[in-house]
Formats: sequence, structure tokens, C-alpha cells
Amino acid sequence: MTARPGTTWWLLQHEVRMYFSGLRKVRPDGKIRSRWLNLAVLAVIQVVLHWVAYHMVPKLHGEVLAPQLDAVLSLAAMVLMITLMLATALRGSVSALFDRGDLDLLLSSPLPAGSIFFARLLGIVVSVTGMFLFVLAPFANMGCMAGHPGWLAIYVVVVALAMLTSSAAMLLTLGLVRLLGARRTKVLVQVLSAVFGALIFLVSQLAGGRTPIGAWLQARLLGTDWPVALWLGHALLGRPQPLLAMAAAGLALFFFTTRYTRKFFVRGVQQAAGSGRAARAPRGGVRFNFGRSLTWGTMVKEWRLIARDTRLLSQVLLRLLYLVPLGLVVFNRAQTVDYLTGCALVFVAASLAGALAWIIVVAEDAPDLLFSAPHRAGVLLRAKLAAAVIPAVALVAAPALWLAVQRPLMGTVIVAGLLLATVSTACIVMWSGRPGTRDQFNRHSTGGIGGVLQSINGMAWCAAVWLLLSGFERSAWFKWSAAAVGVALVAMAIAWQSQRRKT
Amino acid sequence: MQHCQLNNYPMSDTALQLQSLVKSFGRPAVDHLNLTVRRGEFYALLGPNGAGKTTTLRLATGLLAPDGGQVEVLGVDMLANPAAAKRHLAYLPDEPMVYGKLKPTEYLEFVAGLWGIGAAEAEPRARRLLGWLDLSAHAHELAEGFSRGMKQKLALAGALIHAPQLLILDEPLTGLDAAAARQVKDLLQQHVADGGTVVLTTHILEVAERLAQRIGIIRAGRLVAEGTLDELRALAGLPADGTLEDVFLQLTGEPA
Repeated sequence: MTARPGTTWWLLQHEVRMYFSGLRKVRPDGKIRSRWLNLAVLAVIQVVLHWVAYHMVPKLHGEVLAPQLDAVLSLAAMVLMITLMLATALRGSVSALFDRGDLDLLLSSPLPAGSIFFARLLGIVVSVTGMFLFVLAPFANMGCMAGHPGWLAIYVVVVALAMLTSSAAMLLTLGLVRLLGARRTKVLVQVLSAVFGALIFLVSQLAGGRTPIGAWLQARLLGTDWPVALWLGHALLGRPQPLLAMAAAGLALFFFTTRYTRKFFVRGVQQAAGSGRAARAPRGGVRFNFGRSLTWGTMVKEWRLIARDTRLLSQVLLRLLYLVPLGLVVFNRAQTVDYLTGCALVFVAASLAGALAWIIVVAEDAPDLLFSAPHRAGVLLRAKLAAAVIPAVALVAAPALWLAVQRPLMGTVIVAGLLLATVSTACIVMWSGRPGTRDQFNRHSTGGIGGVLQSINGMAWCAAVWLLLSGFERSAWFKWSAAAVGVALVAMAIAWQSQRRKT
Repeated sequence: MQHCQLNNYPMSDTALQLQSLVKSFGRPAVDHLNLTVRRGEFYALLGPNGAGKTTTLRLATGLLAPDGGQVEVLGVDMLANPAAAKRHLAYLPDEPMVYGKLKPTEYLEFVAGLWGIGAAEAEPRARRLLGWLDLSAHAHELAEGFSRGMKQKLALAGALIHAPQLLILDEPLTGLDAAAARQVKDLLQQHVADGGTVVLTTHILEVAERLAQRIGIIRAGRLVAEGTLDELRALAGLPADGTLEDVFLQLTGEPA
């Protein structure tokens, strides 16, 4: 059915069509991949998730929980969902306001601004809903099939929360544009998105059962004197009143936002279009700093490009933020703290080196400029690899060196592992990284064969360090350390071979 | 008008020589192309869309490896010794090769570093170029806020920072306003007057008609005609007052 052109429904149809067109990826040889391939992969993942849910749901029902604990656990799941949804919705709001795309075309047409805003906000709600239902819907379906219809509440909760968080994210973004201006808002919201993305992991560590905050929270929540806080948890458990209240709140906030803030949206878009602001001219006129060596000049250029790209920087730091709990877990285990700390340091540094190598080597903005310069490609590539590896090593240098001073043998192993892991990860990315531009960092930097190989490599070096250190106590583990190094070398060899095949 | 001093360069009468150049992307893009541009010449390469102009320039600058044939820049074989061939060459593509998150000063510092130009040589030249291209007032701003024309001028400044002998430009006037286009045309003419060589592609035939000493017309990857405007008129069988547009349409077989 085709809607009448120029109506809200027609615009929604257009957005849906554009979304499905986006599923058809262009192959490196210029041919268009079938969208059915992507859909088939998604379908297979859904089957697997349903299988997992089929086995998990009866076990969850078999658990005997303390009074209120089911609601507490559901509340924790809800808080996790809310923070992750907020992170996604904030990114969507920034994109709706700042990524021009077809926005100029739509706003210059006689389409009502309200329809455009409605379609954009609904687009964010649908993408957030889709992302979460993809993972959670199998549990709802299997729960229902197992005779527990309460699991269907997942559908209502996800849609309602998506409406609430998307509307809240849009209101926050529009409010910030009004208060701080478009340029600062863009930076702040990107940072907020990163913080929300990792917040729950940090909170979970601070509020874990063994910490004072965690003990206090447990006492309050499991007692009967604070039941209101558990409403959210009860909604997820399928209890009608909280569920209906949440659905009503989601719808109300969504329609309030689309009905009453569309003028702010248009004003926000107009401000965003002119968000670039020229810096003040420095005193003393134009200053140059010529004379850097090719290697140093290239490294400085790469670091400048990353440091000035707040969006990219927040995405890279977000990845590291996810690794912080790993460190906290490590420090909680006093008996093996040293070995696992070393292991974590190696893994964090390798991950960062991989991310930076993708940005610096694979997503170079002006490759033709570099290729047209009178140098062998190897000179520039080495400078670029150094630009990726040095910050990664520098980030963990202090604890690694501290360990080296405290326990020289262990510290030496960790420092050597660090260097090998970062350099090899950067090389793997250089050889087999999935091509893309910097704004595709999140989607492409860990995708394809290169993404898999760099993960294997990072984990293998991490394991090699841990096994080697453990080997000083149980010598039988030395050989397993060598095996882990072998895995890392195989990953490197596959990446190198894939590059040779490309050339 | 100020202009750049040219570097010392290897002695050869030929600035660019393409011999039987072949490149195919499934279908032939450049098909046994022979082209010679003399030192100190202003050469315009014209052709309809998809004729292979950009591919030819990318092959000539070493950005693409040919399937067959030979490229010589100032007497140096591009395939055998690419670093030496590129040393006195600058390439300006139609999409400016600039970094949005760098300031013009930083961009020129980086490009000068790529060509190994020392501070004593690069700094006065950078100041001259920025001033001459009206970019001095924006030298402290990030290039991402620049208009397309400003980015194109910055890329041109980058191309000239090492005072190349051979300047290869792909549609250099795209996106420039009248004043900026005039600046660029003057700069290119000055470059040739100083003994440098310019090879450009353009869809603005008036530019080729007024500036180029010789014009090559390429079609389906082959050079179908070459010469001065008068020679091309004669080749097309047109009278002395025939325009380059008439010549172009006649020789490429495009509908008028």
C-alpha cells in the first residue's frame, strides 16, 4: 500500500525503504551484495538465540529466590537496559540533528516540520527497540511457549523503555543545544553517550554485593521499606500495574516530545547547520613549525587528527571503559592479582593499539596524498604503526613499569608481552583491517576477518603472559604459554597472507 | 605577483611520457595510450565523461599501477623508481586531499615533511602561498569549516609547497568562484612561465582554449587527437573561427 505523498505515513514508508536499501552493502569490486545474505545471517542468529532461551528459561524458573530478589534482579536488568538504550538514543539524537543526510532536502520541502521530527524520533525508537528485541525477544517467545506468559512483558517493556529513553535523549539534546549551543552539545552528548554505555559496568562494580554501597542497596531493596523502587523490576516480571504505567509513560513522553518540541527541533537543526565556529586568530600572526622528520611529522599529524575528533575519541575511550571492570575484577582477586593484572594490561593495550591502528592506517583520510609522496610506502606505514602503538603502550606503561620495579621478572614478561601484543595487533589491522572511513569506526574496526584475528591475537598474548607467569610456579604451564604464542603467530600469518592475496 | 622558485630537477626535454599505457577495470579504461608532454608546456587533456582522463592522470602519478606500458616523469621511470619520479611531481585531484581536522599551517607542515622540504625553504614559500591564495586570515582555522573552494586552494598550496616541476591537476577549477578561479589560472600560467609544466583535465573548455599550448582529446581510453587549437581545427575540418567546443564535439562524436 502506498501512502499519499507528503504525509507523515508516506515519509515513514520512505524511511523504512531507505533502511532496507542500507542493508545492501557494496562489495569491494563494486557489485552490490544481496540483502538476503544479511537477513539470512540474522535469521540464523535468531534461531541460535531461541535455542539458548529454550534451555535457559526453565532453569531460571527452577531457581528458588529470596523474597523480592526476583524483582531486584529484574530491576538490575532494567537499569542495564535503560543506560544502554540511553547511550544508543543519544547517539541517534546527535545523528538526527547533526548528520545532514537528506535533512536539508526534507526541510526545504513543503513537508510539515512536525512530520519530519516525528519520523526521525520514531526512527530512533524503532532502532533502539529493534536492537534490544533482537536479543530479548527469543526469551519472551520461549518463556511464553514454556507456559509462562509473563515473559511477553519483555515486548511491552522494551517498546516503552525505547520510547522513554529516545524521547528523553532527544529532549536532553535539544535542551542542551538551547543552553550551550550546537557545537558544545555535539561534543557533550557524544561523551554522555559513551559514559552511559559504560555506566552500568562501573556501577555494577561499585554496587556489587561485597562493597559497602552494594550491601546498603541490598538491605534497602530486599527489605520491604522501599518497594516503589522495585516497580521497574515488577514491570519486567509482567505484573500488570507497573507494566501499564510504564507503557503509558512511554507513549505520553513520546507524544509530548513530538507534539510540543518540533519547533525546538527545527531551531536545533538550524543551529546545528551553523555549528562550526572559527577559532580566534592567534596573536603574532601565522606561525609554522616546519622541519619535523617524516616519521615524527606523520605521528604528530595522526595524533592531532584523533585528539580533535571528539566523536571518534569518545568511541575509542568507550571501548576502553568497557575494559575497566575487567581491571576491577582483577583487583578483587587478591590471590592471583599480579598475573591477571599483567594479563589485563596486555589485553587493554592490544585492544587500544588495534583501534588506533584501524583509524590511523586503514581509515586514512587522504591516501592519495601519501601515495603521491616520494617515499616508499613502508616508511609511512612504520610511522603510522608507531603512532598507533605508542599511546596504547603509554596508557599502561605506569602500572607495567611499577610491576617491573616491584617484581623484575614478572614486570619484564609483562612489558615484553605488551610490546609484542600491541605491535602484532596493529600489524594484523594493517594487513587485514576492514576498509572504512573514520565515521564507520564502530561498525568496521572490529568487523571482518581482521576484527576476528585481532581479537584472537589479543587474547592469545594475554593468555601467553598469564601462562608464562604461572609457569614459574608450575613449570608444566610453560608449554601452554608457547602454544598461546603459536596461536598469536598463526593469527598474524593469516592476516599477512590475506594482505598478500589482496595485492 | 610572487611565485615559487623551482627545484633543481633531472635534465630531460620530456616532462611526462606515457607509452602504450593500458589499464582495465573489467572494461578497458586506458587503452594503449601514448602521450608526450614537453617540459615547460601547458597541456590540457579533454574528453567526455568516462573517457579515462582521471585514470590516465592517476597512472601518470603512480597512484595506479598500469596493466601494461610505461610512465616516465622528467626522464625517470615511475614503475622502476617511483620515489625519484614523484620527487618533482605534484598531483591535485578533483576532490581536495586535505585533512578536516588540521589547520592550513599544520597541513602545509605535513606535506612539506612528506617531500622532505626543510624549514628555511618551506616557511617563506608557505607564507607566500597562503597570502597569495587568500588563506592567511584562515590559517589558524580547521579546514573542516572551509568551503569547497577554500579546500581546493589549500590543496593547491600543498601541491606547490615543494615547488614541483610537473604539476598534474584533475579539474582544478571545480567549485572555485570567479576570483579564486582567476587566481589559480594566473598561478598555473606563472608556473609555466617559470619553466614548469602543467597537465590538467577540465570540462571548462574556455580554460583549455585560453591557457593550453597543446590539447589532447581522449576517448574510450585512447588519444584521438592532439595538437594546438589551430591544428585541432584543421583536423576536425573546421574554419579558423571554430571554437574548441565545436572541435571537441566534432572529434569526440558527441551530439552538439
